[in-house]
Amino acid sequence: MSDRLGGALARKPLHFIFVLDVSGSMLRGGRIQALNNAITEVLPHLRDEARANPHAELLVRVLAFANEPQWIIEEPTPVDQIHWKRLEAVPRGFTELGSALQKLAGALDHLDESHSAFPPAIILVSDGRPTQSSGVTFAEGLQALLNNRWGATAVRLALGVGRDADMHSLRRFIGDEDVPLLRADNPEQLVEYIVWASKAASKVASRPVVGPGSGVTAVPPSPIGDPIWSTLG
Amino acid sequence: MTDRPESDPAWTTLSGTTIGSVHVRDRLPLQDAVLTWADAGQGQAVVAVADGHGHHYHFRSDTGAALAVVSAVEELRRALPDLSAADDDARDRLERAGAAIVATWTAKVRHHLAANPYSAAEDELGASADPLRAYGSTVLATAVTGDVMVLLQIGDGDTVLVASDGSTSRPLPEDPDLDGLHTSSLCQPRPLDALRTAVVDTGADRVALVFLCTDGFGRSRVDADGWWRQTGEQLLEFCRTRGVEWVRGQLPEWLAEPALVGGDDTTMALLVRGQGVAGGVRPDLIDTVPTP
Repeated sequence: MSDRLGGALARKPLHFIFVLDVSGSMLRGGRIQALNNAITEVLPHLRDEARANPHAELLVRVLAFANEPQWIIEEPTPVDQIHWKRLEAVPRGFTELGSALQKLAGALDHLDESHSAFPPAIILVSDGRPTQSSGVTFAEGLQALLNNRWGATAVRLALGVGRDADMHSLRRFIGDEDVPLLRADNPEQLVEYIVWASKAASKVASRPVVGPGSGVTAVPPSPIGDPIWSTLG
Repeated sequence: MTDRPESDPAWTTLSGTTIGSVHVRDRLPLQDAVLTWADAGQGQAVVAVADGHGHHYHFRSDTGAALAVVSAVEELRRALPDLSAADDDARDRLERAGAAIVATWTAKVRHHLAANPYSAAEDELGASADPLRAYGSTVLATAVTGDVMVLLQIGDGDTVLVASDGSTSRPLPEDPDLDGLHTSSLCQPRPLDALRTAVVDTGADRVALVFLCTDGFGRSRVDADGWWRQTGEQLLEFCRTRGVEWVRGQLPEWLAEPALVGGDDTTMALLVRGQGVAGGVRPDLIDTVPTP
């Protein structure tokens, strides 16, 4: 009999999922470039978070959506192994967020069913009002996500991009009125906000709170730079 | 451990606790607590562990956990003289002891709060609006007198019985509110709704040992469903082949590994049947709580 009591140990997975809008409007004002830059810049921060959380195995997935959702990184991938390939926006592409959330809910069905995993962290970035050309409304997609155990308990954060972002829908996605909902109005803000959201989500997801509320209390960064996306529309 | 007859009334207590690596990283205190008491002459013993919640809403949970184990040991010691058989009377007495633990914990928290009011910054977190929340903690406790063992628990963590044939069981009913992400708590609005209890005849069930642990011990196990059985079987085997003192010496190392890998505080308390073991009960933990 081994002298090690209780058997082998392993780090628990912490699933980190970016849901990114690549609709046609992301072509305006350099938004898609800014989003790519932001993801590129956030990866080193996520690596730092992974190192600072030796008890958690930080695994990243990326789901993009325009006319339809598409996994950019479908397999949960350790952050150290991610090599970001720049996303392209879909010219005249819609904002099928409901369909994307439905697809995400389906993927969460396959997460570890045991009680040993951390709740996932989901970060949604969008610059427009959700469309429903695929027949799935935003409300239906969100409900599908919330009907999933992991979707309901996930730490959900959202960032709007520019003045056309549907902040009402993003707020419904977050669900918790106490969690900051940010709107980036220039590339620098988008980088800062995604970095902030990533850090806040990883910290909270790895330490659940008792009772209602997501527990996200990190103060978001103050707006910087000119609001060029709001003035450009 | 000497293989004593099952009717041996003496029980030895063992315990240990280790701060989690995430707590060290985030400069949080150890938020688990453990307390044991034993009277070998009377064949009585009580063990209790508690897990203070880690979120910053529960910023006094280290104190809450400490008060939880003190309350549990106090109230179970108070109940011991009334426990003569593993019957309905014992179950009723245990339910009353559970209610008394909640009431005592609440009173101790309010006393502590009166002496240490929330600051303005803490109030901004809503501390005064829900004054018990900052002290939020689980509690697991077991008491034994003769052949009567009573067990109770509020919140997550594990209570495991090991019989002399090596078979293991979880004697407490499941808590439907435990989903691995949230826990029931002494600080919730109706904590007694989450009180789980069991009464065991240790002679009839041939109980050789019981262990209580906070969720830090089991949460990171690869075998998420079977680790507690393995742990129970190993503890019994180790006690028999290497002795209780060896087990006592190993506890810090056994707790350190899950605390490092899993990140959470990790605590375990054991009641082991048999008074003839080397070293007997821990003198440093006897009578740490005044006799009620």
